[in-house]
Amino acid sequence: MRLLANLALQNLGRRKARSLLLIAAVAISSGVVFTGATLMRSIDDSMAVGFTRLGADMMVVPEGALTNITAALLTVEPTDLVLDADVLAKVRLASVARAAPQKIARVEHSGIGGHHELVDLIGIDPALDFTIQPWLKEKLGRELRPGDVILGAGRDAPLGSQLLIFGKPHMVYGKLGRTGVGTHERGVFMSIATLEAMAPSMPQRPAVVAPGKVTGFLVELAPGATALQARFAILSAVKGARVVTGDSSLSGIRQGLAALLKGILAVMLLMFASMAVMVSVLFSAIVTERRAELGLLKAIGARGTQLIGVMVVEAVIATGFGGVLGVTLGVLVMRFYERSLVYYLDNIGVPFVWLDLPHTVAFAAAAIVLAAAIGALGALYPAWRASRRDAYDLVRGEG
Amino acid sequence: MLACRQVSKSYKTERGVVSAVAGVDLEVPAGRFVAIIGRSGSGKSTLMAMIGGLSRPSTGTVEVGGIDVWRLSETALAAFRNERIGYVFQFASLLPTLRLIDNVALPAMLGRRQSTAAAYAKASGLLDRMGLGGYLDAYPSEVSAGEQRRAAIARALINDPALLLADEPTSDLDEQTEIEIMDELLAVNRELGTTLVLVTHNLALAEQAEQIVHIANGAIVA
Repeated sequence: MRLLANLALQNLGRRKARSLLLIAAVAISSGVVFTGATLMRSIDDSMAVGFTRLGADMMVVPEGALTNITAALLTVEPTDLVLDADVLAKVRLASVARAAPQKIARVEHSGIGGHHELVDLIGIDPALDFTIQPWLKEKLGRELRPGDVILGAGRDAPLGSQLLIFGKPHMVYGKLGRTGVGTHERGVFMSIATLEAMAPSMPQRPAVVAPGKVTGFLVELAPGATALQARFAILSAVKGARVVTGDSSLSGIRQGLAALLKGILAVMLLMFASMAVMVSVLFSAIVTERRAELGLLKAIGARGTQLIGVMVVEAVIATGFGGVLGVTLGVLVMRFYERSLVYYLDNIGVPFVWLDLPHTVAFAAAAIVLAAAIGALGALYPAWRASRRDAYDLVRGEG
Repeated sequence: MLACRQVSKSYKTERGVVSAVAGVDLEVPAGRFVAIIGRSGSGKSTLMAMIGGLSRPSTGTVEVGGIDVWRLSETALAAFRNERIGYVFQFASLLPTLRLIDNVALPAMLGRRQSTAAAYAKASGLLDRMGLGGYLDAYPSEVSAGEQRRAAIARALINDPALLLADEPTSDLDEQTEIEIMDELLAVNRELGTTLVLVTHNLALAEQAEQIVHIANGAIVA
């Protein structure tokens, strides 16, 4: 009813200082939660990129394969030995979060570089890969397709240009940033299907280009799993494999930071919960103060639902407005954050991936709706209690 | 019109059970002006609250127009208060954030029996009748206590109640305003045929009533 809504609005205007304090408290809480959630998701995504750039936790390669250990496990090393492509998928180890297969064929006379230059052609599964694509410095504005190649930082060709490999044209889809890992720097990356399709054109065909075979896997540990656990699990499940472990401290940092982010999220949720309690306490006080008015409304025929409606609408208007204000403040804070810290991180080469616009809008809407819902819930109980009192007790300021 | 049978109200307090009204029997025919008199704390306001559906009796029944008030559901009781009863309280009982015309129209709009336009037209007419035609858009704080009380009477009449309950409606007013308010209430009783129950401790006011009920210690003594 419009008159009751007006009544709620005018009640807010009647106690300006209290209403402003309530709005400010809700604005701060919802602003912190909105900004925190948006930044956390952004940091989470950035960490995903940053950590995957640090490479895999371990590599699984054929027993007897030589490996050149670097600080970052980004690619496997070329070898004549192969593993079955589905060897890890078949055993499904709990200690393995994901395993990205790679095929690496070291070839000459490919048409890339000098005539006798050895070029590493590296096949990846774009859906499972987590050590190559995070390093994409520039790329075409679409997904990787068959026939596309990605160039290591040590090779140069314009994006979208044609590159002849064994006489067949391939489009330069993207270029990687500098990693300092030789294979990565000089490699030419493509999907496994693209590499396999290239095989008939190769004068000397390495065993690895055959379908169903891979040079090895880059492995990320499952949360809580140790390298030792995974190593034993893999070795006992996969015959003829060798496990190469990377820098174990990176796994620990990755897992530790993921837990920390979850902890921060829990703190933010607690903050929203405390806001709910605060709103409820405040509206208990407001209902107490307005007992006579509520009693009068009841005396002239307002139903219990109408009394509750007045209080809840009043709360929703205040907390919803606080939510909108909080989100606006949050956006301003993030603009400041972008101009300072993110700018600095960008300058030192640390990637920061902002949450995309649809998700940011969804977070903003959720923060506002949640703030309004907390207001409604906070006012509901005291209003419901008041609506059940005798009108006479309320009119006399009792009950 | 109004029948109370063995109506009692008691409260539990830290010092034990306190009886505010004890076994009251009362019959009031339709259209009569009844004054309930008694000293402060005698239970007269509590009795009126039970008659008007504002306070549930501990025991006994209250019938208004043949309706057993306290057997009604919460929703039906709200509709009863809205449609059958008009209240004028002893304090300035207007909602401070609404204009006088909004205050008067509010019961009609709560009951949804009248359109908004009809409710406001009637509210305007009632305020005019109370001599407040020039204050339709004024807020309660912008008019005097007597004018607020007259607006409260207008509000009580908006739904054409069968029973008008006035609880010490002139308690904080000067003598001249008191006379004016009483004249309004008497006019409503005589011209509209509305049953009027007036709670007062002012014997001079009570003498104008057709029936006087004297309450002491929660019981009718005369």
